[in-house]
Amino acid sequence: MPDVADTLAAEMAFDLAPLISATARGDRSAFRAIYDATSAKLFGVVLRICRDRDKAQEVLQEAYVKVWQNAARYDPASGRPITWLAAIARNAAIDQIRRGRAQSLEVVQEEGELEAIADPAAGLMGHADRSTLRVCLGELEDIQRDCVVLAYCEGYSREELAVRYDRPEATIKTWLRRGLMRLKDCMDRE
Amino acid sequence: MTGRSTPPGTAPTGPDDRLELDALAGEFVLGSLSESERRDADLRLATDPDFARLVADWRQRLAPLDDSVPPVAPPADLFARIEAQLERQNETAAAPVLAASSVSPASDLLLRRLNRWRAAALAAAATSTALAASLAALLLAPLPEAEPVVAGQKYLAVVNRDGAQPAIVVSVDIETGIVSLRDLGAEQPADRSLEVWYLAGDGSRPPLSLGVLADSADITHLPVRDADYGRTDAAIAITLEPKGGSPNGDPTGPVVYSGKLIPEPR
Repeated sequence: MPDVADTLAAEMAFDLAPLISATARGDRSAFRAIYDATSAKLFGVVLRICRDRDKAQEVLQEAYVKVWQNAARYDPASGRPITWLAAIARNAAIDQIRRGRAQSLEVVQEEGELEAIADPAAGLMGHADRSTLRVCLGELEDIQRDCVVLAYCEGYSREELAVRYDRPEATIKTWLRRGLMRLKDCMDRE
Repeated sequence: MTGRSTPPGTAPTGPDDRLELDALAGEFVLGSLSESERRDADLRLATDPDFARLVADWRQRLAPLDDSVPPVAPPADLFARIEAQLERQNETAAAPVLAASSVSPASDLLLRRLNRWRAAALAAAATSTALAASLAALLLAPLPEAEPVVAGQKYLAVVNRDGAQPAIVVSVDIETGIVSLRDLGAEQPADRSLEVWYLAGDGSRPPLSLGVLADSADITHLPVRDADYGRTDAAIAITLEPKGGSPNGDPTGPVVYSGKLIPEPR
């Protein structure tokens, strides 16, 4: 039975880059192999942003169609295959929620979950426990870290963060950018 | 990119602007930008290698945040749905080729598509998904055979990016000597110009500039310049250039939109 550990192991066990090259040449079985190795992870990523199973399925479908169409554009120099795949999925998810949320600025408030995500000590980082990113997120001011994590993990826009924290968007922008720059400085140093 | 060809404050010129660009790349990866900022950043990503590098760096930095997400198995039939969508797109694109053994049904199909598309384009219904799909099909459809150049012939190209929504419709009318460009929502940074090029398609001649897209008008008219618009591989490309167009007569910026040039059925 495949479980989480197996999926992760499978992902690490073989290199996705040759599969992406084969997909770029129109190899459907290579495309299937990429899907099998990554779809559960990407569905998790997309679900966390979309919060709606039906929409997340549509987004995931759209994302893999883009993977098929854009496989030739993957450049190994710009990062790991999984990072490229996740970027396509996250982009599709963010486009989707921006379309959906544009009309009514309805922000889902699930305090418990958000607190857990915003708190790096609460197991948020999971597999990235010892990562530099985790250490450096820990160095940020709470509010900066919360904004960065909520934006990345849950797809919060500046506008939504402004509502959540009852501050002007300009303030949120400042928090986000200061947070990002401190994060970068710290990660470059580590 | 240097500050010489751009107004102050619109392009990175020093350490502060570099920081600004890096922060923009970071926020783009976070996903926190507004919709319009996001669209601009998307265009920039496709056209500015410097920005693309910063974005790639931020993706690498923040990627560990994805590791904490528990994997969730998607529905069992999702891959079949993806394949079905790819098949559908493939079929639409391949239809004229499949019908090429009997030329007239292929021409009819193309003609029907063109008529449908022209009516829709004239109505400026550029955001319709159906329109985008039929345009994509039109672009992907190879012509059954090269058509002879005829006096008074008109040629059309629909230019877009990555097979996405059509951005500009280009119409070349040999008789009137006018190239018309209808802007259906091309993204044009305020500090640069979009320049229109004729490409022979086989490298037999350098790109021929047809002119620069008007800044704020929906329709731009340019004079027809001497070229073999009826070539099977002829195409129109739009590049991002310094304000006013390429300084040296050759494309200097990246291609942001492109599309095949096809004879308009009469």
